[in-house]
Amino acid sequence: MTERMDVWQGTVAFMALKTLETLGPLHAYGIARRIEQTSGNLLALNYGTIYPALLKLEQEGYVASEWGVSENNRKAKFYALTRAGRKRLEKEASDWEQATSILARFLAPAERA
Amino acid sequence: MMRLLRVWFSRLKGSFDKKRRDLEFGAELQSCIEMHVQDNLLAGMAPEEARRQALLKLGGVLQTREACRDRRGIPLLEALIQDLRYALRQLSRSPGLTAVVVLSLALGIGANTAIFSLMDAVMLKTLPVKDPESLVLLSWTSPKWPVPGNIVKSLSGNMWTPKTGGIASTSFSYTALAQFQTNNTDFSSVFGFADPDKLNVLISDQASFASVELVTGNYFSGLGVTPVLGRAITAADDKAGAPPAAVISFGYWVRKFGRNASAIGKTAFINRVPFTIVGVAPPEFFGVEPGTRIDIWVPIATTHLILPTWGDPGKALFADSSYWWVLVMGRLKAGVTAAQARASMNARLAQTMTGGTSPAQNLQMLPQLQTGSASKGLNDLREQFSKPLWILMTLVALVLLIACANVANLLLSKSEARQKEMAVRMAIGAGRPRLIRQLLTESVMLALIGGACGLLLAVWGKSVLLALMASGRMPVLVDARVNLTALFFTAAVSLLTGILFGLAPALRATSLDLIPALKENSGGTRTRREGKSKLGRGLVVAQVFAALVLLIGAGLFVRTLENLENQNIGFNRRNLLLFGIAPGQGGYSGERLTAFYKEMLLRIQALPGVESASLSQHGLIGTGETILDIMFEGHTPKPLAGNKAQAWVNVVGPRFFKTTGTSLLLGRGIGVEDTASSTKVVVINEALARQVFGKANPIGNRISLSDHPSKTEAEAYTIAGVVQNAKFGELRKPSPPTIYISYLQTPWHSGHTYFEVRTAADPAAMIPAVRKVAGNMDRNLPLFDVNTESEKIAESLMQERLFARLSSFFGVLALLLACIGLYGVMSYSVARRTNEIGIRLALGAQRKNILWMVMKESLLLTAGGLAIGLLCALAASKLVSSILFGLNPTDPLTFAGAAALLLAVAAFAGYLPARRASRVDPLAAIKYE
Repeated sequence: MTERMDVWQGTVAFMALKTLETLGPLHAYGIARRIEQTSGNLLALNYGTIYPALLKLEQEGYVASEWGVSENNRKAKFYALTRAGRKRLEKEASDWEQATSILARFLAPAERA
Repeated sequence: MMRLLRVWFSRLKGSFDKKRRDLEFGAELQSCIEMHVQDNLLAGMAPEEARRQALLKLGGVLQTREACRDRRGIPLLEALIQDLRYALRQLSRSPGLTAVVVLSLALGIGANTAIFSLMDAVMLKTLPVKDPESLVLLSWTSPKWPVPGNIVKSLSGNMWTPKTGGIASTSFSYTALAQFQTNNTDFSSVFGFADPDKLNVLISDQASFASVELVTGNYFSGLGVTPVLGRAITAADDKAGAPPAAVISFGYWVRKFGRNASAIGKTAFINRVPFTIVGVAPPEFFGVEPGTRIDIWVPIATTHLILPTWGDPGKALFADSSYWWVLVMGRLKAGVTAAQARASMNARLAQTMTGGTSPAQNLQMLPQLQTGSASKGLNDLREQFSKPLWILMTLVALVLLIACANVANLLLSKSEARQKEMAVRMAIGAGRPRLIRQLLTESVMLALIGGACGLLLAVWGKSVLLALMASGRMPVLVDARVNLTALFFTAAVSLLTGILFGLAPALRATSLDLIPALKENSGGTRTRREGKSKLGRGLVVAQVFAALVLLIGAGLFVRTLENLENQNIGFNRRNLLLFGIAPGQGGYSGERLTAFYKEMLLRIQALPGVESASLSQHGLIGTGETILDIMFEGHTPKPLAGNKAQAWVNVVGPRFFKTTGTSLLLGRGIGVEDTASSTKVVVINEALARQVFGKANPIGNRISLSDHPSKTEAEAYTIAGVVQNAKFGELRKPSPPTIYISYLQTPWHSGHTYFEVRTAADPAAMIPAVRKVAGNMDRNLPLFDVNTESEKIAESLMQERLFARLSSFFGVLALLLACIGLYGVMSYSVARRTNEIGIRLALGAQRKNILWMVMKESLLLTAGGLAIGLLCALAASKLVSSILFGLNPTDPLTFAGAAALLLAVAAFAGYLPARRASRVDPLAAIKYE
């Protein structure tokens, strides 16, 4: 079995935003599942951590929630990206890209050496 | 930043409908778990395993809930809300206690804030001018009055007797002001002003009275007051021949011109002299005397135009060094002390008085210059009100003390009663800080509720106080909204009370030994109870002491008011209407003025319902007085020294005594037959007759009214009658030696006068008819001081009535609070000793012995408080002696009465628990614990 990584603090929110952007309105369970799947099951995600993250995003106004009916006819709370959330996602995505490219530069010569 | 704000706002919201959000989150979590289980089942797991895996993946339902709950709200706030809710529940569980505590605090704090706001306005606030600290008000003192050598022949303005004796005043001659102003090195500016009575002002055909201040050209620049509209009065305006200019106050501008800027350039006729309005003063500036309100400022150089009667006849007002009428303020230069300025100004003053020649032989008799800080305006109002305010402040402070003692006592008993609850809460794991916080929340909340109610009470109480303190003749217009200082004061007092009396019981309640506290039914251990009751008893003694002091004060003030009201005033105040009119300001003088008065008298007398009418230069009470030196031909008044040879003079019309109801003792009164051409006569009062003639008949003797014996026959008056003593000017002073002269036979009769109207029925109903008569005579002459005499007397006793009422109210309140305190402590003590009492009874004690045992305890407490209270009251009563009338400050009747009342009520409060103790059923009592 491959070694699974723990989720870094603070990245769950970003992943949740990205998931909502890709899939549109979704409930907490769906978001958690999707994050796990996207990581190719490399991330060890406690589904419980998604709830406080979503609550914080909602308080910050990046997502909005609404009760709805799930695909298998179950009542569930759906989260959707707000306009502010979309902006936030853009900014965070570019931040991440920059951060990873910087890290990549550090890592690249080390590998060569 | 905005995001953060948004988060906190939503968390704040989350702190409130917690329950609903919790439920909603539960539902969300549940639905997600079910979906997960469903997926697991589809993936082929067994139902048990599917659920187990789902929960495992979640990482614990409780943990997830907890993580969300803390993020949803603000935990600290939630604890506070919880505390508040709990506190509210606790307080509403004992509504009686809560009500008593809140009411005590509200009354205590409310009364304190009200009085404090007033004190702040009158005594602490500085003038709204530039750098008020460097302003100095000049005054002078002289060991002797009148000042020898005719240095001060006439004085208008403030005059008082300083503590050192003699006389003091703030009025100077205009020549002295000029002397102060020339080449002055101590002051950056010296300015003068004078306040005449209200003057007749006509603006766009509307006549009314306004207070006008005569000011020097550097008054505004010296004070540093800049008009909000137009310009100030300048030195150029303050010159003979300059076009008369006036600055109006902001309030006057609002009232007369509705804030219309076109007021600038309009003409105001002041005593028929046209003035051009050039500026509007800033709204916070009322003049330099807090409590009075100036409407119009005009250059002092126009004085002789608007007030031609001012000054001694035949002398130029501005060159007369013996006519003292100008108040002087100066602004000290930086680095110059008031003492330095005083020395150099005193030399200048001496120069104007001696005319620059060699010093007068009695130099030490000359007025000596004094300086006082003028930063808070003139001292008048402060001197008039500071003592009463301090006394009131002491009264209300005592009330607050009693209220706090009561609150402390009630909180103490309550905390005792709650020891078991505390023990239980600590036993199941509540931390001590948490419990103390809870208890503090309760007491602070009590204090704050009390404080809030108190503030409301203060807002209402202060306007009442302000109205009451303003005696009728002097409307007090201090800017005394409940201000921030007062608010801070209230908040501090209420919080301190809450913390002080919440903390002590809280600390004690939580420091208890758990095991005995839990075991004992009635809570607490013995030693702790002893401590509590010692503190409680101390508080009761303090309450009784404070209540007694208040009651004695109340007794003294009530008896003062009674004495003042029931004294013989020498005239009949009922069915008597008085009003003033000033035709002199409307251009009447000489023959025309006399004719006006005659005609007016005739018309008023002709009104239906008027029994008789007369006029006089001074009203009966509170309208000023004229004092002249008198000489009797052949009969020199025996004690000529001092002011014994002076008489108070009132210039009156015919039928004056009939109208006022002053009875004639000998001879006749002033009648219609006393005209300018008939023999000049005076009527004197009993006091003067007795002083000069002893038991001899004064009728037919002759009198003259000046420093010197009459030189010509025409200036002498023949005594035609003697009337009973009547109050003149002030109710508190004994009737002075008085002479009455016909208004047709004296040069002193002036352009303004009071009319007295005796009516058959309600005199107030006569006012419209009288106004109509005056309006028909000359519609440009407004009436002033229109009021019934009984109302006037009531007004002049406002302060006494205020004191009597407030002190009675506070006294009764204190009595009540102290007795509640006593009752509480004794009830608690009886409840605690139920067991002991039961044993005593079982062992054969008589019920009346038990009754006495408990009664003795409360009587001892009361007696302790009474003893301390009597001693304190004895010492303190001297401080109020100056505002008492007709009784000694240590009036034994008042002292004994107050002590007896307190003892009686306290005995009753102590009797109730004592009776309960004596009725204890021994069997039940022994089982009690």
